[in-house]
Amino acid sequence: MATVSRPFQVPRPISRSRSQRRLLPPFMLTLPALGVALGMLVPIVYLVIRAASAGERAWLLLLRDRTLSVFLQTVLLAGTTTLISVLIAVPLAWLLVRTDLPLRHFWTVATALPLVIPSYIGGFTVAAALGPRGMLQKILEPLIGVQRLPEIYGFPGALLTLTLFSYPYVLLSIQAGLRGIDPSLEEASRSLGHGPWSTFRRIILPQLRPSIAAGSLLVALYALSDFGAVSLMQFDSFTRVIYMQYQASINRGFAAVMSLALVALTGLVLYSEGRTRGRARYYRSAGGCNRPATLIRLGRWRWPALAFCGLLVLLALMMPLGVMIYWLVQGLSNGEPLRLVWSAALQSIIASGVAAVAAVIAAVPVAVLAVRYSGRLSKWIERSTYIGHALPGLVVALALIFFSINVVRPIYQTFALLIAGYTVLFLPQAVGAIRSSLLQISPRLEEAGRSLGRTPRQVLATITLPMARPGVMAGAALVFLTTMKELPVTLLLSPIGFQTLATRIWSASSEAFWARAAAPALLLVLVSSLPMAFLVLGDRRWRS
Amino acid sequence: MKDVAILCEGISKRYGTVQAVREVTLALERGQFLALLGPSGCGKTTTLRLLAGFEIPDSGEIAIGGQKVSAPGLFIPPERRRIGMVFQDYALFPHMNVERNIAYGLSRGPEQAARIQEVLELVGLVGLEKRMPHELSGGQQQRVALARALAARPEVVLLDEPFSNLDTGLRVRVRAEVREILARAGATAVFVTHDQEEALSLADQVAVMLNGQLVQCASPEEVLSPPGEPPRSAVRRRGQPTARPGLRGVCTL
Ligand SMILES: Nc1ncnc2c1ncn2[C@@H]1O[C@H](COP(=O)(O)OP(=O)(O)O)[C@@H](O)[C@H]1O
Ligand SMILES: [Mg+2]
Repeated sequence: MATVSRPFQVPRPISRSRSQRRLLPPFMLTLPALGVALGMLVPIVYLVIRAASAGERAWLLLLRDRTLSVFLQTVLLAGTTTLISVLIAVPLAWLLVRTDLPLRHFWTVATALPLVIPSYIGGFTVAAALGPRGMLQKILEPLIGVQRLPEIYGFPGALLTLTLFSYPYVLLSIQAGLRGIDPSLEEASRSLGHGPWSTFRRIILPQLRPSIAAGSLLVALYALSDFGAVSLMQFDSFTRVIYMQYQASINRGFAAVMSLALVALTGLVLYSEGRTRGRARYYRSAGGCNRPATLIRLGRWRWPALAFCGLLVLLALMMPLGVMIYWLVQGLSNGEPLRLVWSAALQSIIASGVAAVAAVIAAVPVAVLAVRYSGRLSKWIERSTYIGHALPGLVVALALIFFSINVVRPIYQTFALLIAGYTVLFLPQAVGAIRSSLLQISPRLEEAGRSLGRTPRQVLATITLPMARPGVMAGAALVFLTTMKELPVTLLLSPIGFQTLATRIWSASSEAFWARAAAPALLLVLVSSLPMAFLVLGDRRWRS
Repeated sequence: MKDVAILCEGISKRYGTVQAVREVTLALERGQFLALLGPSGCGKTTTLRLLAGFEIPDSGEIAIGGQKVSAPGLFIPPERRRIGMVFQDYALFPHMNVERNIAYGLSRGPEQAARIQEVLELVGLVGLEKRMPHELSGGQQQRVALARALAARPEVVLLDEPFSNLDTGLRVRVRAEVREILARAGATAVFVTHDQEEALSLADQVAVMLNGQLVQCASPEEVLSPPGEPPRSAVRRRGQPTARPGLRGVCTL
């Protein structure tokens, strides 16, 4: 074969990096982008300051046995969640993309959908369904006389919840990777005498490594920074311990020190992934030139395959939906008022809408700078936005609280601070979306604008931004959705009396008021699943 | 030097370790067509981009229409150079129709509509004002690109491999059309090509580039001169531009 296509081709950025004497970016880009970068640095820098001034006692606390056990428990949880997610996702992705599994398109959507269930909702449904005297026990008791199911709280519940609702990250990543593999490689392997299994192991799996790594990274970060599920499951990982330390307000310096330790952990994960990540971030197929691969016949194997998919969808999708609907009906028949749900929904929409706009405004100069004026400064500015990836929401919230109390008291407990928290957290998503749509725009178009007598600013306004609009809209939608589901920042930074769907669900379910949590939870899940279905379906249509 | 549209003196450009353009000196008289001919990677595009102002030369000077646009310590941005550029892939703005693409380089005002009609007539696309770029054939897209570049009456039109995106059958015809349009507009043009036949059939002057350097600069007849005779330009010293008898364009090494 003449062309050995790389497994995960980086779409060649159209812009060429220019060395030697380069054209300098205009100030109207550099200044706002620098401002954004400095803003991103505030939480982490202030956290360091706060931890440094926490006093010897706080640092000594870090050396206690208990801290070590928290560290180990967190690592164990994140590691196991990631491992199991990969073990689920690899065969599932292969079934969905490469085989004639019956109802493939249905399974493709259904197995990706658990992504829309936030961990705190997932946690409450798992506890309500599988708790010692939960719904499953109620079903089993009359049948086989089970009095009590084994304890779900603690490690098993946290692991189950996090795995069920975060494996789709690896799944989507591997699916994309699989679609990008040139089918003729597989055919070549078959023609050279390797069977399907050997071909999978020797040809496909190695090429999937970057997408597995990229997806694993997302799951690991999800598990490390998760607050909702571990709290509901009463599992002492970093976030829960930090939160309790903060709530008790005995030693807030210690909360800062612990936060810093957690950030070190997420930073370590990001760093160790750094090399694969560069390549794997763009695991796009080479495009239309690939022939669609012929599907592998499952034959009799389709029954276990269907059982596997069915069990997964049952646990990760049907169970939470069933629990929510059951408790919604219970709540309604017991006169649980819905009025508060609507007002919470409105607050959620307001907060998410403003956050989306703020994140996009902050992201545009950063993305334009990164794509069009590659240089050391723009690289560092873009990197500063990754801070949002590395910092768990809880840590961002705490850092901003410390910062506002000690430095800018007037913004403490204001709506503005809440939006700032969301922006720090979700800026990477907005930058990513805008960045990838900018990469599709040929720099020749902008040069054409310049050659026709327009200044850089006019070109930005009349050509670049109108053409990047799909990316800008996608970025805004993404930030909107994730903000709707966000818990710790909302919980800690909301002004007094500001109640969103997330905080309502949280306060009800942390006291096991399942009936009160069900209505807002169902609403939140429904609202966020519509765009998700479009995303998955749209992706499929585009491919076929 | 009122009638010199382009004057470059010793321009060089290096990318990292690659010397893309080395000490190129050339001059072009108003109304002339210059072809930059050479194999792929020899620095033709870079030269064109230096003229347009998309790249800053490491050394040397450029003047367009008698105005210095690039010199040590001086850099006029592309939008103030009075150039028109036709890109290899045309670079039509996909979110604007033909009319708005052409209007993009014109200042708003009563004359704008008239000028759009004028250039549309010139390129023979009257009636297609409202089409979007993707609704046009390759040849039509190219004529829109040409109309857009010519609309503001630039000092020079720069074309980068203008015919490489057309299939062979179409190419010869479009080539003649483009030449005709440029001539009628009275434009001065520099176009880049790696196709010798194209260069010889279209240009008044052919500048041959190799490894970033100009190795020959002559009229098409001279470039075709019999083998064995050393290209006369190779023995000419670089330096002051000299008009050669029999040549209306000026082009020196
Ligand atoms: N932005 C850039 N960065 C690095 N090298 C470049 C860049 N642009 C061009 N080059 C190099 O400069 C040389 C000349 O390129 P170019 O002017 O595009 O050639 P041509 O148009 O004649 O094919 C080539 O070796 C090319 O690789
Ligand atoms: Mg070229």
